[in-house]
Amino acid sequence: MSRTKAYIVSADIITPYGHGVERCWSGLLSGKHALKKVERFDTRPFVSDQAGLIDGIEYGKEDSLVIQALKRLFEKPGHGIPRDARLIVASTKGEIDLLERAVAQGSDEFNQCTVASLLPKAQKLVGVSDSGYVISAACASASAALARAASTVTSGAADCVVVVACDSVSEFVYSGFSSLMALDRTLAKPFDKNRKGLTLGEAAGYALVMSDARARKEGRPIMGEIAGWGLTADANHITGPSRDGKPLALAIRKAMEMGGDGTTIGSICAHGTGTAFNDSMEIKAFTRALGQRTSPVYSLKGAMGHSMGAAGLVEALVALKSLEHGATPPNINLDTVDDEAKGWAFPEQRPFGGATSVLSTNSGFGGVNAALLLSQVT
Amino acid sequence: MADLYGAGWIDNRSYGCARTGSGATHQVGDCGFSPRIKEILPDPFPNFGRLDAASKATCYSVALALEDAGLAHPLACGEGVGIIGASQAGCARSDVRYYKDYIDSGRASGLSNFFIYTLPSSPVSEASIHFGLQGPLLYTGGTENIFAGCAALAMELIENQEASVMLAGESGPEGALFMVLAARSSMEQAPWRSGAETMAVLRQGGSFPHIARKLADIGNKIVP
Repeated sequence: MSRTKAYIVSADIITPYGHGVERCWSGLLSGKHALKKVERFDTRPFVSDQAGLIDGIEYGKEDSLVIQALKRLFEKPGHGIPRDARLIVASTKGEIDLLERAVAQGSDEFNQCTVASLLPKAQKLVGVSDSGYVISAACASASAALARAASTVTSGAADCVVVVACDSVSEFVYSGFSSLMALDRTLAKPFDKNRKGLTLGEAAGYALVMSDARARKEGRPIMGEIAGWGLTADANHITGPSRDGKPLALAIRKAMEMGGDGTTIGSICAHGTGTAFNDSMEIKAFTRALGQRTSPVYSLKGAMGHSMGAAGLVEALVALKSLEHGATPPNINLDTVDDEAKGWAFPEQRPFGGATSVLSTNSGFGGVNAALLLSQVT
Repeated sequence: MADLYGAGWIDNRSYGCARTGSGATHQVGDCGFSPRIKEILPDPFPNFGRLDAASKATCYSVALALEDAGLAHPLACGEGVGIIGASQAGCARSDVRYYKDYIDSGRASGLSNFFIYTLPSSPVSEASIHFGLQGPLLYTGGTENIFAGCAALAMELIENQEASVMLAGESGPEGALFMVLAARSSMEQAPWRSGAETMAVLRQGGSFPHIARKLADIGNKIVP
């Protein structure tokens, strides 16, 4: 009897390029970034004033920023998420703008501002009966949640799981990354020799993960398979990644082993924050894991900014689009490829015909790493 | 199913190891768990004073749990040894500490040493770094019984062979309880409690010392 497979059968995202995976993909192919000046709060004290922002979501509304974004995804009919789907919510800061508001008002009601407090709101919006749980693994939150969803499906614990991921650009987060001197003064330039840091961004999205049997029974369109995954930690530093890339390489190898012998990797959607240490660590990890079998590497963060806990979901969906088209999107803002990244990262779109799988990787504060192997389903 | 090999807890009055029954009472100072309790964490711990209260409690509890399970720490090889933490309020207290300080300083600059503890996964990250845990690292929350939910997720990671050993527990500024769950093939000693027995206790809930006592009170059952 063959192993149960975990298919992504439905998904939607809101990014700084607009609503939908197609809009995000075409925005990336345009070669133009979707970053702009932040007007939500005063950025003058900070080292940057740029971010990837979703049009039309605003501070000061009754709903938090992420709920405004999620409502756009779920309040239109026809998203097709069955009521019996299990629910996983992935985020780093959830409704952090509500906490900002509470602090400003001198309120001590902070229990409604935690990541977990987002869960019942997400449950109601998605319309599932499961009360769900939260996964937070810093900037690898969404990819870790997709891994848990795939694990739940392949183990037979459930045949349908919806992963909802979201994070927003708030004064809280912006001031924090600025205090860490992690922001590029201009725009993030992942894998560039002259990269100076990241640019923050925001996104919200969901992916419906279903067993192959149920997907076929219900006649669902199949976007791709989560064929393997690996989760590891650097055990190195609270903000700095491993210097040798071994733990991320191990996560990649685990994901590839799960995918089975003969897996060929067409491309890698990297975490690619644009910080000196992250991008260097990732190239070292790819070299360790894949050896001389270089695959084109790209990052979305020069285009849309770093959407933290939502990044892994957006990136997995773009990785599947790249697999469908047999080509990577361009590395937006990449001008002079860093010496370490030569042969891996390219400014322009790169074709990779013939491959049936791609990788998507994320890493985050505390040294967390996640790798997803995404495969075509024929 | 994965089995239980040991558990350690700390709260504002006591700390201990559930399996071996060792423990002590202590007083928490004005600054939470500072100064460092060197009986629990004898090794050098750079920047311990910088950790927020939940991270300190997590590190104490993980040290006690590892000791209870007979695992010397820091681990010589932490590949496949992961950690998953849960909490009632996430990192809300650290969030408020960071943001109030930022507001009080005139919104000029946040304190990076406060900001780094504003992730729900920060406490388990600190434990991962100090003890050399290189397996899966996650925070989970939102379930009705977060401790049981956290343990179930840890067992799933072991059963799926994504990790051989998992530290799983709940922590907050007032204390923490962590357990060592593992596949039998990855441990030299016999398990203390079966996974099913462990889950039955966790589902009943209770304070950290209460859960530790309940685990010990299951009796001298031989794990099947």
